[in-house]
Amino acid sequence: MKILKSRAAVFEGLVVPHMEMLYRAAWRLTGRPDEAEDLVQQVMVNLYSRTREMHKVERMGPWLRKVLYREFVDGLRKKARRPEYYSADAVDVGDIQAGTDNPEKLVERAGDRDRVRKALDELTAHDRAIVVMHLAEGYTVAELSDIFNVPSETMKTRLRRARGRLKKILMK
Amino acid sequence: MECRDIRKKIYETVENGGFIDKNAALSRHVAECDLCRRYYSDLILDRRLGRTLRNMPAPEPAPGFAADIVEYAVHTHRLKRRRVFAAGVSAAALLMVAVGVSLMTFFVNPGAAVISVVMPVGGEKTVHIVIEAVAPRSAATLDIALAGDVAVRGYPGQERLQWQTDIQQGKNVLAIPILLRDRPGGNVNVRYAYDGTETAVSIQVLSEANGVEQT
Repeated sequence: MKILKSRAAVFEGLVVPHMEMLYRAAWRLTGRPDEAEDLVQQVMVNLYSRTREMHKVERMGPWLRKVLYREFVDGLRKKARRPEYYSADAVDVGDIQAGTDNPEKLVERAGDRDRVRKALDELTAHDRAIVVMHLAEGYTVAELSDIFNVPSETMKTRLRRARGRLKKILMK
Repeated sequence: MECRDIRKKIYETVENGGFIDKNAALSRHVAECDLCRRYYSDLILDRRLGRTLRNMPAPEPAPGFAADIVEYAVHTHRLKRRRVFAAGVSAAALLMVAVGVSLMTFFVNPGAAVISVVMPVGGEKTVHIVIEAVAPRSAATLDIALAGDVAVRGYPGQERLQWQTDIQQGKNVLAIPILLRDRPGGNVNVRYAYDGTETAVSIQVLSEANGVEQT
């Protein structure tokens, strides 16, 4: 009991300073406060047994965020009935080229928080995650392909399609 | 300049937070080249979206969120630990392997550190390992490593279970419900470590289909 309390204190010291940041990242991914809390909770449950290992982490914040993203992506994978989300016929050229006729209007709308939030809500969880991780968090295609466990060419395609869908929704 | 060079310069400009308006050569090229214009628009759009996303106000977590989550993580860990480290011998145990009076025995006599269990493919047997301590041990480490086609019930897909626990004076029983997934079988390697000393036992799990007699 004593040891567990001690480990809990160490764990608490490592993660609590980053908890709000994790919650915000989780909320951006899920779009729902309850799901964001569940996601952070699951990450903490998984990490508790790795408390010793966490001492070696140099930059705890980015490391925790990456663990959170992996957990989210794993969750998506488990929920998916099909291993592949995007079949060739699921995307049309219009998705990708949306907004190219009026880029100024699109950029203007991209600055409107409410509109962007609603557009994100219309994306699939997968597309939303890719867009948020790439555009807001700055993850490169290589890093995303590592997290999503797909080849980088596949990730490039997914990213292009996710952006295309977001553009299309913003231009509605 | 070729489109490739132009795009490189466009990228650098946008990455640094600027626009190409002040660069006459870039502006002229972009005005005439559809693909480079689209490339530039996409970069500007991404930058704007990224900024909007980062600045989007998130709702506040519930009061006490961080403390509650840490408490939940600790509680869940304890429950999991108890599932593996059973305090007593289950009457429903299918097999009882009492490993001497102490795992230390195996350390002294490595020849005795391997035991075998035989079960049908898809079957389950709970192996009990007795750890007898001459004094209470705080924060002893127990480590179970799986190799081959075996699993521990309740931990699908996990090849390694490691945790710390307090060992009571006298007999402590570690109950391991082992599943045999496929014919070749495998090994369940159990390691007990305390205060720089390690002892180990390897449970060789064999399939009945291989015609091996239980020893």
